[in-house]
Amino acid sequence: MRIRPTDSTSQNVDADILLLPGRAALLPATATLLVADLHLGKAATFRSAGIPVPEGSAQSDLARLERLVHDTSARRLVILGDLFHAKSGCTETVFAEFAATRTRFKATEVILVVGNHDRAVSRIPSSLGIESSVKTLHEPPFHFVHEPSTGLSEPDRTCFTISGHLHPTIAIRVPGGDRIAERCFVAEESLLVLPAFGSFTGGQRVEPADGLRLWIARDDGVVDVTRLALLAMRAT
Amino acid sequence: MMPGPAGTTDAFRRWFADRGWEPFSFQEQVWRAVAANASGVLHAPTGTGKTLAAWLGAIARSADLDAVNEKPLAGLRVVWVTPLKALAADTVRALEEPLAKPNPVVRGWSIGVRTGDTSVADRRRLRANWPTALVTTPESLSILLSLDDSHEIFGSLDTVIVDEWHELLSTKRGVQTELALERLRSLRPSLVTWGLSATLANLDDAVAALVGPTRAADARLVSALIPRRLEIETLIPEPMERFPWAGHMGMRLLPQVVAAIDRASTTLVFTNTRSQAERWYDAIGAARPEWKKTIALHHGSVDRELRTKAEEGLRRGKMKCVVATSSLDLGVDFGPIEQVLQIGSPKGIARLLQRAGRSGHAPGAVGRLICVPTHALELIECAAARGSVAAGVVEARRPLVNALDCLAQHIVTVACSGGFRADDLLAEVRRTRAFADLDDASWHWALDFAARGGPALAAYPNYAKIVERFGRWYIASPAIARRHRMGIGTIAGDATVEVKWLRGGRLGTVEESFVSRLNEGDRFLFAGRPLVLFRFDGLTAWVKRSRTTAALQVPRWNGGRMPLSTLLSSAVLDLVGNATQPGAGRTIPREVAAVLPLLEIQSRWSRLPNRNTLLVERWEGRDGHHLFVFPFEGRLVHEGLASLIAWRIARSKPATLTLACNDWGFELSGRDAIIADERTWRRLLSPADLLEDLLACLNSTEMARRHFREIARVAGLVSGAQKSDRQTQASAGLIFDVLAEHDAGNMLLAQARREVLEQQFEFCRLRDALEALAAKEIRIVETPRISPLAFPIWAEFVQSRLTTKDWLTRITDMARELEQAATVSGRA
Repeated sequence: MRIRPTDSTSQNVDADILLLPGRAALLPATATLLVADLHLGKAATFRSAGIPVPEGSAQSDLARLERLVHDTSARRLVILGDLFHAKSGCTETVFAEFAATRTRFKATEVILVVGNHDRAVSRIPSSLGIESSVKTLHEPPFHFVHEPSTGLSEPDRTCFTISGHLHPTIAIRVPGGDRIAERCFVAEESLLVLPAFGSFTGGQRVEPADGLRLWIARDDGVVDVTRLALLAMRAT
Repeated sequence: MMPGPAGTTDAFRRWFADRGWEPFSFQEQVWRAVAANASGVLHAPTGTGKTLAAWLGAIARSADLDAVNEKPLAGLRVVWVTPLKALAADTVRALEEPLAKPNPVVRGWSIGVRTGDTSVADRRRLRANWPTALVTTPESLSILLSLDDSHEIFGSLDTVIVDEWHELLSTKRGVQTELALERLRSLRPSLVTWGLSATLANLDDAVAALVGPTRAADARLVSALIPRRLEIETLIPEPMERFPWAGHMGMRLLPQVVAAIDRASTTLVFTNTRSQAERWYDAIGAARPEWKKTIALHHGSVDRELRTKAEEGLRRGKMKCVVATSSLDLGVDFGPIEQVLQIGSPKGIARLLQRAGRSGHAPGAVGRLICVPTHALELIECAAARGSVAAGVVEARRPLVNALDCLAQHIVTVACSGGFRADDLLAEVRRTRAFADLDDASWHWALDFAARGGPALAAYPNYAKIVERFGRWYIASPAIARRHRMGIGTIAGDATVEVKWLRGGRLGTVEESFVSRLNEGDRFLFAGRPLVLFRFDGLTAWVKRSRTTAALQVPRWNGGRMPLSTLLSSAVLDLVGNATQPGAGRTIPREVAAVLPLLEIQSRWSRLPNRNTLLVERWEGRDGHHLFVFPFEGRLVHEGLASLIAWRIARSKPATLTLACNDWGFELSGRDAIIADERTWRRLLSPADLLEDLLACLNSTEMARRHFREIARVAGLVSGAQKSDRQTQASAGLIFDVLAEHDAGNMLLAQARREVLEQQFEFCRLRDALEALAAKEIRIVETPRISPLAFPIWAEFVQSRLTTKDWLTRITDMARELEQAATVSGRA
């Protein structure tokens, strides 16, 4: 599988999977835009529990999503799970904001691969304009899921799996020198895990290892750090 | 002044006489003051009878009031606040002692405990039937004040006593205590408040914080002028040549330490960190296997049961030696301790006195303390501390002011307990020293924070912790009250993991970051035992005993590293500066004489810093360029100075610098040469634009973001480690980012920056330091090798980084450095 980072949303790069700035991926062959783990309504969940977290992160995430759909002219948007955070945060406002964003890319089909957080939200209203909610999506050569079934280790022989759920991050440190920690894309032979798209989400450290490919995923760029992370790990 | 009925005081005189004792005059002074309804602070060295003075005074006051009322009041009469829940049991024991013998005055008195460790059943029992005296912590007192019947619980209270007030004074818990005391005085205007404190340089502040500035003039300050005889000496390594220049363990002195323990009946060995305690406990045990049953380890991460066993052993005189950290700094009498060893520099005069006071803990006995340096230069710190004790000086502890996170927490606490009128609570809060200068804007912000999450214009829909009804503020729901009470009790700290035997039994807790680095089968030292990690399941590290004791790792716990106090720093600089020319009539302390050869190397390769010159050393090593600067202002100020100067250097030219510091100086290093002549240094060290520059460099070092953790917890932005509440788990760092982006005016962010400036960097001390440096001559020296003074800083772990490069450049540079290093090591 040819995975390439790109610094623009142009689709001219010769690749099967393009990693885009803004924590999303694109499958050029089918014009499919992929995002994972938006966790909409997380701030509202906190507020309903008496923890004052301001509004704003969901709105800016939705605006970013809308821009990505337009810039890539995606025919399809596949959300790889955890679109919503929790039942207590799914207020009318949260749903309405998503629905309003959705109407601004009517021509694009939206598919939700249901994540563990979505399952806890008992009812996702039809007014949101999500064409289909599925457990997994099997479209050889790709297989879309929320949770990579058994971590990063077990390869699916027939298909290349793309997932979310892990919220991967990477920390790279030069002994006695600089240190950087960012969200990342992580891939192995037949699996790619996307970084969390939502900005009010935590992360899980990924340890570099042979056979693991890593890209730092920022709003303003994607950079391959596979070799850098390995060198840094060996140097410490 | 109306002294209490003679019967009461006479009863206590008899109580003393029964023991063959005579009350000290300070004890009688306190009794008379309490009887006259006066509040105040009693300060005295440890082990002189402060507890009895306050406790018997309080009992007498209640008895006098009952005599006037002609019938005893039911319910709580005395609240005794102790800073540590671990001390509660000891405190109860000490308070029960005078109640043991039949005495008409103490008839009907009972003592209860309410701390974070009190079980739900015991709490229920307490609520059904309050004792006459309650021992509690600041957190538990706040929880009691949040109960809706708090005005009944405390409605019969006569006296509140805050033990070890100096410990709480300069902390957030001190602010919490100030607010709680003021609340108690609102519920019970006749309340008398006493604080027990060790000696401080600013006892006036201690009084004002305890009773509130407006009442400070009427409060008493009672001093126990009991000369406590202390003998302090230092172990001098021989031969000195083989003693290391840096390091924290100082194992070279093990034979002398073991010999010193051997000579005494009971020794307390104090270390500065838990890792040190583990290593020393292990080494002493290995050196003298026959002491196996009579030595113990005591630090904050060791399981409570194991600690209690060690304390019991001390009390019953069964221990040869206990190795401890600050976990044994406080607390009531442990019984017969003949001597105290201090491993590593004591870092402060008050701390040295406190620890020395642990020995010879009976009236009239001599306290003995031996300093054990861990590296050569610490000998000078030991000498400085010894000299300062002899000169009778001691540090100050500054109480905190305007901590809005504590205020936000308190507002919700009071709302839980039946509500408040905003004006009344503001007036009450302003009676504390901590909020005497609280401005209207900050008050309204804090009220808004509880009511709406933030100012009305910021977006916090569907949020309310407190709601207003008919001019009073109430808690929004019982669920929020419940969560708030849980939040009051949680202690800030890093995620910890329980260590348990595979076959059952707990050993204590370690930082998760340590365990997650270990693999199954890795060996480490913990709670004084060699262990093998069998399995780590995310919550518990399951361990077995390791059969070999070779190559054991020792956990590194965060925090606990005290900076050298200003007083000691300045004493150290004098000793260093005058070491080679002591001047007429001055003698060199033994410790300094021992390190003279090292100081001579320093002056050969570089020079000795002194009061009139600032020494800057430049050294080029294989790994890049290093600058060492020696202001002698203590670790915290050096952190601030290093960040400031790194930022000022990197402002003109994008760079990444790494920063390290110790109590004597700091180091900046980078790949590129940092060229700076004296004129540039003057500019780098200028006090002009200090605040602006520091705020700017705070952002580039992420320090405010890191510091936000504690604020977020106190203000209720992050919940404690309640695993059930997964959906509202977020790191303080993440919340900081969301606030910074979507509610930049949030005052808790401003507080985080202010606290880093004031506490982390000790802003005032930093500004004073820069102003002092402006008057000094700057000497820049190129050193051929790393100098003896620079070496300990160089050997420190890198403490932070500062960068003004963009992220892509950083990644490119990191890659280049690592590729180069890989090529070099590949060739070697």
